[in-house]
Amino acid sequence: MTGIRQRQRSKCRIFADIIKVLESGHGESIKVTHLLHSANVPYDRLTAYLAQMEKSGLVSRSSDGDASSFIVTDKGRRYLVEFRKLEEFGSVFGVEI
Amino acid sequence: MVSIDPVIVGTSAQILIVSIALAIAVIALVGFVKVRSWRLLSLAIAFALLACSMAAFPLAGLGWSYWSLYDAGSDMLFLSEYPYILDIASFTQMAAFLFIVVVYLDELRGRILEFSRAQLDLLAASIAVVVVLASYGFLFYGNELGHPIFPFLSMLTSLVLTVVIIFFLYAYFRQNKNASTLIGMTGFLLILSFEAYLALSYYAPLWSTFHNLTEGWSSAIMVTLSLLGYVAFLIAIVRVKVVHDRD
Repeated sequence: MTGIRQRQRSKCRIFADIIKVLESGHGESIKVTHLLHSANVPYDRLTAYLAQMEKSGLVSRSSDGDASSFIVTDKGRRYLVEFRKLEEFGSVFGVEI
Repeated sequence: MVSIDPVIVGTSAQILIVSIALAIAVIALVGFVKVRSWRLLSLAIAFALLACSMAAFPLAGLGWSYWSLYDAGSDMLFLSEYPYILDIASFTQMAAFLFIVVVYLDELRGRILEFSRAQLDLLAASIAVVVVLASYGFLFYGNELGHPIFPFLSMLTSLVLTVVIIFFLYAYFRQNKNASTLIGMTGFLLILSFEAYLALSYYAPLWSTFHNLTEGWSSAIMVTLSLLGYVAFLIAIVRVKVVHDRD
């Protein structure tokens, strides 16, 4: 018996968590390895999410040799603001979005 | 002396409920478009269904003879001759609350339930099939036996709402005793009181005492309580917006 399992985050919450980590860089780009630990997402899923977020314009990629690093865009910041509002809206109905 | 008609009060409360439920559905839908959260889409569908089900009552009243929807000498809604649209409306309302339960089950998946997504879908489909079969069983065979469907649906809805409130209690303690969650739970408790009244007024003779005491106002009072439940949701939504903007 392992007790309470770790919660399964929704995709939009993982996006928000990734943007929070990128925002903590204060304009500096953040490497994927740092995101792996801070956002707590496995590598294969993280790269898929980052590709999706880049396509949606939430983050932008800057390549430094072989290593990719990411920076949050204005659209990404607006997404985080909206997510926080909607997170509180969900709490009214006892739902974690 | 101006006399206020309880039917007018009840219908006005139902129209206000429709407006609030639609507003919540629109907010949740806009939220879904912004962050693509499927749980928000489920909430939007649930509240749109609630708005549709509640709209059926005043619309039925406007569409057909207003007083024919009521038993002669009773304020009990739809106890005898009533159109099937109201059965469907009651069924839709219960389906809306079931939708919310499925959202909670999805949230609990991986937290305390060892369910995979496929198992959850199977469970939700099984619940839906059982409820549909039971409801239509009552609709077709219950009516023949002189047993209307709506008290049964109200009883089922009360049970579903009780499950919703248990989930709320869990959410309240998990979210560090969030006040908005507590206000939302109060909203569902008030809605539960209306549904429980509809079910109990048919199954428990004791409730006829309440009807006699209120002199034809019992349904209007209970619909108003249900309206207060939706008002509680509105208060909680405005509150989280104010707190968010202040932060």
